[in-house]
Order: sequence, then structure tokens, then C-alpha cells
Amino acid sequence: MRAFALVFSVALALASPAGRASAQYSARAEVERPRTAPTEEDATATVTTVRPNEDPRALVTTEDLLLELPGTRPRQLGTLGSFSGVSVRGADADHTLVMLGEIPLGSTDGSAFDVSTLPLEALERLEVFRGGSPTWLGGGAIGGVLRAVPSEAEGRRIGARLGLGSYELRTLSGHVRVRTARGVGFFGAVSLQGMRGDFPYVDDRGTRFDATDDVERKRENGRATQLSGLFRLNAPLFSGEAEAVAWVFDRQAGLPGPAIAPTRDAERVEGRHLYALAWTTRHRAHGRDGRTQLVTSFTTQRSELVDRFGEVGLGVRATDDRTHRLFVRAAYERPISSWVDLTFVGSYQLERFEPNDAYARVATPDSTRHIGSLSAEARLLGKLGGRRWEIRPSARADLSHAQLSDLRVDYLGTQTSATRITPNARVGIAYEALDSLSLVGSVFTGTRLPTTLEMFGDRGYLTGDASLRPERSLGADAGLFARIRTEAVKGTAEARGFVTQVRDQIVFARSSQYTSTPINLASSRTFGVELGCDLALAERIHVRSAITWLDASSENRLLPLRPRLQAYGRVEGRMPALLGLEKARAYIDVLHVGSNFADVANLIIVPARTQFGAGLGFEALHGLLGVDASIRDVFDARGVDVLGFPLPGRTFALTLSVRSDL
Amino acid sequence: MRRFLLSLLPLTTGACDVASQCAPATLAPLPKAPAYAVVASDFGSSAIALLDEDGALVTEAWVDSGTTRTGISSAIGGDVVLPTHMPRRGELTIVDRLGVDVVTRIAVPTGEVLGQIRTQDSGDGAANGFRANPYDVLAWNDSEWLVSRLSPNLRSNASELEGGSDVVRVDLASRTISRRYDFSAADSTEGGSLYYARPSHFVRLGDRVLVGLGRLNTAFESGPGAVASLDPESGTLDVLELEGLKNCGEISPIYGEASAAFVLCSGETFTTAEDRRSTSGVVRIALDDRGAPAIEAVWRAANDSSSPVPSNGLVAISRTRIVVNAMGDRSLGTHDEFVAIDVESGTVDVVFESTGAFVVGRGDWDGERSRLLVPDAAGGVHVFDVEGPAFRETSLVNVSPCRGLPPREARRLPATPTR
Repeated sequence: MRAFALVFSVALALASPAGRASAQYSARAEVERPRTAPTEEDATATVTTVRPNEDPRALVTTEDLLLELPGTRPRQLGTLGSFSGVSVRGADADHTLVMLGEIPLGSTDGSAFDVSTLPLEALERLEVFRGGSPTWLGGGAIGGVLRAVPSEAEGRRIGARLGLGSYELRTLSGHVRVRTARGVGFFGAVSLQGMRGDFPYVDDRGTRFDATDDVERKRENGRATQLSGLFRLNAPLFSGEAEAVAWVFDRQAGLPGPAIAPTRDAERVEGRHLYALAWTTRHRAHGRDGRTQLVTSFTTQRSELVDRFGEVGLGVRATDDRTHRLFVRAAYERPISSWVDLTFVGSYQLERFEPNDAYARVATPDSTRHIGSLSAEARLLGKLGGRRWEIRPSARADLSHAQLSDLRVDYLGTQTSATRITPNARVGIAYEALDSLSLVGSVFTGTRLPTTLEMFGDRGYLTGDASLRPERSLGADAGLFARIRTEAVKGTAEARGFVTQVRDQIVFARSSQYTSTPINLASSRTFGVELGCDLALAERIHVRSAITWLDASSENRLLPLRPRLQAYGRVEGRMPALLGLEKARAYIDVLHVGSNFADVANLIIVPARTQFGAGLGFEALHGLLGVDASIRDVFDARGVDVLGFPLPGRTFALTLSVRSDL
Repeated sequence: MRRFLLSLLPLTTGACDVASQCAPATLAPLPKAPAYAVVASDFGSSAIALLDEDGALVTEAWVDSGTTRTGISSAIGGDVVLPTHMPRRGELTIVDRLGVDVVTRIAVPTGEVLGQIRTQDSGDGAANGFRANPYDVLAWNDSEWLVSRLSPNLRSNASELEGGSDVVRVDLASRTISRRYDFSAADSTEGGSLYYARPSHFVRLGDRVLVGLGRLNTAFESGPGAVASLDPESGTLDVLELEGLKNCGEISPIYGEASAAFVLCSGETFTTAEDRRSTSGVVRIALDDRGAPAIEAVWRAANDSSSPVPSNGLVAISRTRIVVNAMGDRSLGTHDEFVAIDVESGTVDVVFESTGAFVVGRGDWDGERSRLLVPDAAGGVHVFDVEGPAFRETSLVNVSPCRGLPPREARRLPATPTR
């Protein structure tokens, strides 16, 4: 029985570190590390955190939250149900590693992760690590890591929320969290969302020289329905904590297509089912905590695109691609002396890609890929002039072995195997210059392996190239991080500069009348400055802002879709009681996205846009009832992130929340 | 309040906006009419460069994708071509293909935009999910043009004018489609697959229009090769099967010849050059007394196993001789070869080899000057003077020195009535 329990515990997996673990880690950090660290995980990391539940905006989205983070830019193609990628420090969306806790998300099919699928109602926080990330989280991504941390199973509470918004947006969600006296905890959150998405836009009909035929029309085929549920169960086990996580996401949505060629019938079905087990234990050595963690997860992903009339692609399609991923990870962190901690992380992924197209004349074969990773990190601690410092050198090697069946017509079914070793390294440093101010910097490398799509195409229109080299990057950043704890002001502020060079970027280039093929391009480089703050003034006024200025170019041209300036600012007033209402709050915010090029040749300028928002909220009945209302883009400025895909202008949102202790 | 807030923004953001490094393309009036137009494009954005009669660059971008302020579309798109033959003298006509589906008419040399014609949606343009993918434009009379539309409308309940895979007649004054010529009679079924006619390029031969047919199914696989002769007045359509050949969409007029034209069959799609060889060839088509197309001469790549396999860029330089590109293969490391073929003697000469694959586009033959222009995305526009069998390259023109857009198409801008 004991052996069985031991085997079981080894197989357990975790979607994020246990809450208690975080607390212990934080407590240790108070003593040994620079006290101004932006994260409990790594004092040298460039990371900013945002918490969905603390955001004053009604029906806040992942994209809304990402705008609050310096160096981070969401790119949307529309409203609910449309794809949203995230660019970190000007990197491509597929250069961002998205994780649920410590489990990497994403797919082998080549597409960037759609951040709009994250289960926001079940998340405690979103963390964006820009540039390098700590070894404990993995790493090696060129842009950075977006980490979604699920809510803790703390307390005994239950809640529900009804949301109403413009264009028939309807949401209904509920959550429950329970922790027993024996330490068994359960958290569950379910959300159902639907939207018609028929917002207005000006259709220029592709005749930009002729304004007489412009017409305002409603976006068609923008409907979406999605269901998301995340469940988390914790229990003490063998002096540690075991955890089971299940996340289910399903979405059915129209595929509106470019607005000058709107569709009527094309649709997309997406599903992601993730199951994870974890076990984490703490141990002390040399007066500090260490930890051991075992994680395993299984993810199955479905991506269905039905375009029976050739509305969006070059021909008709009815694809139903499946991706299965097994992930296993073991991580060990231990203080080995009074000034050194060591961390080792090993992981293994088995990915299987099963493409299917009902219109294909021949069956499309499956492909598999194995990826093993080993990482090691030293954490060196000390004092200089009475001030704390921390240095974190780390190295990581990924060994990938792909056995892929070619999708290219000429080579259909041809088995190809490719083995690659991709090393990466990072050195981070933090120095506590003042009690409230740290100097932080790092140098890091990153790698992105060619995806299945890039290596083997998509059955015709995109031809692959199995000889593609991985994209590689070298970057550095440096800056200041302040944690202010005065009577009048509390919060954090940061200012950093960064530079990144990416070599062998992979882009698709037209290779015949009907086909495009990926090629390794020359290098690109990005440098910029990012500023951010999250401050509370006299506990009444809260200010949040994120400003990013960057210059991303390749061969003397600016990279498309990268505005030089993005700025977000919000001022929120909070009153404990006002006119009989509890926790009354009101905010105004402004978002400015600078002009940017839509094309590589730098001819098409996407105009800058500035959008103002406002909202208010309050609680009543001793916190039982909450009401929030928001208006976004008050002056109906509209705009686009990607040419041809208009974003909604002025929208309204209202949420009614009910919360109660159990 | 709104104005006040917005007025503050330039103070903080003015230095952070982007601006093109190149001189803007504003359709400024030209001092004199240029002789040639070149499409330079990376398939994401495009510019129209103009050359003078000696092949020297007049402007690298008279109009480009950034000429107008961006809305949900740009001034011109990334998939832009020029008609096989400019429909009218004193006009530059630009065809914005799949997804934009617009024909733009610009007066030369004044730069006045004479009109933009949507090649689909006869109504108000509400979503119908149909993208016409116009391929070519031809002037039928002073007030009406013909437009070939490659895409079939796969909806069985599509309106009559939006059937697709057809040729439509457009009224220039109202910029609407006045008549549709159904090409479904030229569809083909083979192996259980329906190959739509997909009219591609066309030329006028007397009172008829010779139409090259792509004959592709919904997966863009190619069916049996064919061309068709259309009588736009009566609507009569005569189809000529080109046995053993496939993908016969490209057509080139023959200078000084009013009754014959060349057709390029580039062979099977989505395959290698050698696999295309058996279905690739060049055919000279003439119309018989009834206006039906007939084969006059044919050259098949299969008959010359050592010859490059033609793929695109057909230009006739005489009644017996054409030039055409044989596309290289990036995965095999082969480059485009531009060849001259005498369809009667079967002689094949390599005019030049480019330094890339899928880089040589469709050029044009200036019969008055015996000059050949060939766009080569890997180098520039090759300008040849042709004397008998000899091609003498007089210049290689970089048509996009600032924008860096590779040339894809070149066409003569007739200063006199079209041939």
C-alpha cells in the first residue's frame, strides 16, 4: 500500500505551486533576498503581475489585463471567439510561452496560443515574464512567459456572476472554494459565455479611392459560444501537498474573415481538455526552504475549421485536427550552503498531432514529437555594502526528436525524423540599492523550434521545409524596480530598458501561384523602454499604468504590427462606504496604441488610436451583492490591431455578482 | 471635452508615430506619359512603378498600398496584377485579386482615379461569402469591360450575377455588373472531382474573346486542359479541349495578329517540375470561321525531356516564338529559367537563369520597339532588345530602390490605341 502511495505521489502533477508553498517561499525571501523583488519566484526576473479579481472593469478580458503590463501587447482580431495573441517586447505571438501554473500550453501545429481561451474566472493572477524566466518555470522562450496561475482553494466561499454586454454578450459564471480543517481544498469555476458580435464598422469595400461607396455595416458571422471549467483539488500527502487539476474549454464560433470579404458560414470549433496531477513538498536546509515538485499532465486539443464555401481560405476545408500532449516534469530546489541554492528541472513532452481534412483526397498522416529538457540554475546570495544582492546563472538544453509524416503532396506520408539540441542560458542579477529600490538586469537566450506547420505544411497551400533552422535570440535588459511602503503611497513601480536580437526568424514567402513556404530570414532586433506602476495613494486613489516604447526592425524596416508606443493608464477612486453603498469605486482609463505598419515594406500605416473608458461599482448587503458597470471606448474611436479586422468601438458591460461564505 | 483630451495627445505621442522612409506615392501628375508599368510586390503590399520608353525608372511608386489613409483595407492590396492588355490607352488599370476583388482605373499621366469597380456583389455588398478573385480585364467597347473571375461561388442559391467561375460584363459609368457569362459548360468532371472552368486570362480576337481556363477543383488540383471562345454579344461559348495538357489559364496576344494567340498550360498543380512535364506545353490557338477555337501549333514539354518545364510568364514575341518562365524549386535548390521556345521548330533557348525560385513573373512584349520586359524578383526588370533570335539585355532596372519590393509583373502602357 505504501509502495502504491509512493508511486501515486510520484505521478501527481501540479498546475501551479501550492498556496502554502508560495507563502513559505515568500517568508524566506523576506530574510535572504532583495526585499523589493517583483515576484516570489525570482528576484532577478522582469515580471509584472495582474489580478483579474482586483480589476475594476466589468467583464474584464485577458486582453484588457495584458494592456496593464509593460512590454506586453495583445493583438485581437475581433470580439469574443476571435483569436488573440500576445506579443512580449515586440516578439511574435508564437515567441511567448503560455503556461497554466507550470504546465506549458500551446500546440505543435504552429499557431500562437490564443490567450482569449484562458479561464479568467478561475485565475488568481496573470504573470508576464519578459525576456528570460526563472528555471523553475522552464524558459527558453524568445519573447517571454505568460503564466496563468489558478485561484487557490482557500476559505469557504461560493459565488456567481451574471454579465451583460454590448452585441448580446452574455456571461454566467460560478465558483466555489472550500478547504477543510484537514487541509483538503477544492476550487472550481465554471463559465458560460455567448456573444452575437455584430458590432458596427465602416466597410470601405476595398475601394479606398472611392469614399462614396463606404457604408457602415454590422460585423457578420461573429457569433461565439464558449464553456470553460477549471477544477482544483488539494490534499496533504507524504509531508507535501498533492493536487489534481482539470481544465475543460470548448468554443464554437463563426469565423468572420477580413471585413472587406465577410463570411456567412465559416466556423471554428476549438476544445482543450487538460488534466494534471502534482505533488510538492518543502524541506529546509541552511535556514532556507527548498522544494521538490513532480508534475504530470495530459492535454488533448481539438481544432476544427469548417469552410465549405471557400470563404476564408484558398479552397474548401473541413479540418478536424487533434493534438495530444503528455507532459512530465520533476523539479528540485535546495539550499546547499549559506549563500547558494541550486535548482534542477527536468521535463519530457510527448506530442502527437493528428490532422484530418474531410475534403482531402488522401488521408493525412499523424506526427509525433518528443522533447526532453534539462535545466540547472544556481542562486547566489550575498551582501555588498550592507545591501543584498542575488545572481542567478542558469542553463537549459532541449533535446527534441520529431518523427513526422510529411503533409506535402509530393512527399505525402514520407517519414522524416529530425533531432535537435537547443541550448539556452540566462544570467540574472538584482541588487538592493535602497530599502525600496532594486537594480535588476539579465542577459538571456531563447529558441523556438520550427513547428509542424512550418516543417511540413498544411496539405497544399503552405508547403513546409524540414530543413528549417530554429529561431534563436539573444537579449538583455536592465532597470529599476521599486516597492513603496510609505504611509501615503503603497505599491510598485518599474522602469527598464531592453534589447533583443532574433536570428533565423521563420516567415512564409510565396513560392508559387498557390503556395507559400517558410524560410529563415535575416535577423531582427528590438530595443525599447518599459515603465509601469501600480500604486495606492492614501488607500483611496489607485493608479495603474504601463507604457512601452519600442523600436523593432529588420533590414532597416520596422517590423509590422509593432506600435512604437503603447500606453495604458487608469485612475481609480475607492471609498469604503458611500451613500449607503459598500466599497464604492469608480475609474477612468485611457489606452493609446501608436500608429504602426501593417506590412513588411512599411507602406501601410495603421493609424494610432486612443480610447477612453470609465466605470463604477459597489457592493451591498455586506458584500453579498456586487455591481460593476463599465463603458469602454467612450468616444467610439474603434480601430484595428490587424489590418482588415475591425475592433468594436464603444461597448457597455454590466455585472451582477453574488458571493457568500459557506 | 473630447477635443481637449485628443488635442493633448500629439504632445505626448507625436514623436512616437511611424512614417514611411520612402517618398510617398501620391499619384502626382507626371510630366509625360510613361511607357511601362511594373507591379512590385511582396504579396503583403504593392507599388506600381513606371518606366519610360527606354526602360529607365520614372517613379518607383506612382501609387502604392499606402497611397490612401488605411481603413479596413489599403489603397491597393498585396495580390495585385495588371491586365494582359491595358484596356484603354491613357489609363493604368490595376486588378486587386482574391479578397479585395476590385479593379482600379487611373488616368495617365494626370493621376486622376477614374473609378474603382467591385467585381462582385451586385447589391449593397452585404456578406455573401463570395470572393470573385478577378484575374483579367478587357475593354469590350467604350462603355463596357469584361472581367474574368476565377472563383466559383459554391453556394447553390447564389444570385445569377454571383455565380463565379465566369466572365462578367461591367458598365463603367455605373460601375456595376450588367451581364454574366456562365462558364459551367466548360467545367469538367474526372475521377469524381468537379473541375471548375475558372476563366483566367483572355485576349480579344475580332468579335470573340479567347479565354484561358484554369480548370481547377476546390482543392486547386488541375483537371483536363481547355480554352474557350466567347462571343460577348450572343453569349455563345465554344470550348476546345487541349488533350494531355493541364492548367491552361495564361494567354498572350501575338503582336500584329488579330486571329491567334498563345496559351500556356503549366501542368499539374502542387507538384515538381518533372511531374508537371507530361501535362505542360504551349499552344497557338486560332479561331475558325465560326469563331470556334482550333489548335494551330503545339509544343509539349513531354516531347523534350531536356527542356525546362514552362510554368508561368508567357509572352508571345512573334507568331512562332514565345518566352516563358520555367519555375525553380526552392526545396531542390533550382532556380527559375527564362526560356524562348519556337513552337514550330521545337527549339528551346535559355534566355537567362535567375538567382531564385518563383521569382520571374509575367512581362510584356513591346512590338513597336521590339523590346521585351521581364520582371525578376531576384534581380529587377530585365529589358531586352530582340533582334531575330538574339536577346540583347540593355538594362536590369531596380524598380523599387527605396521600398525594396520585388517586381512581379510588367506591362506596356499603350500611348496609342491597343494592338
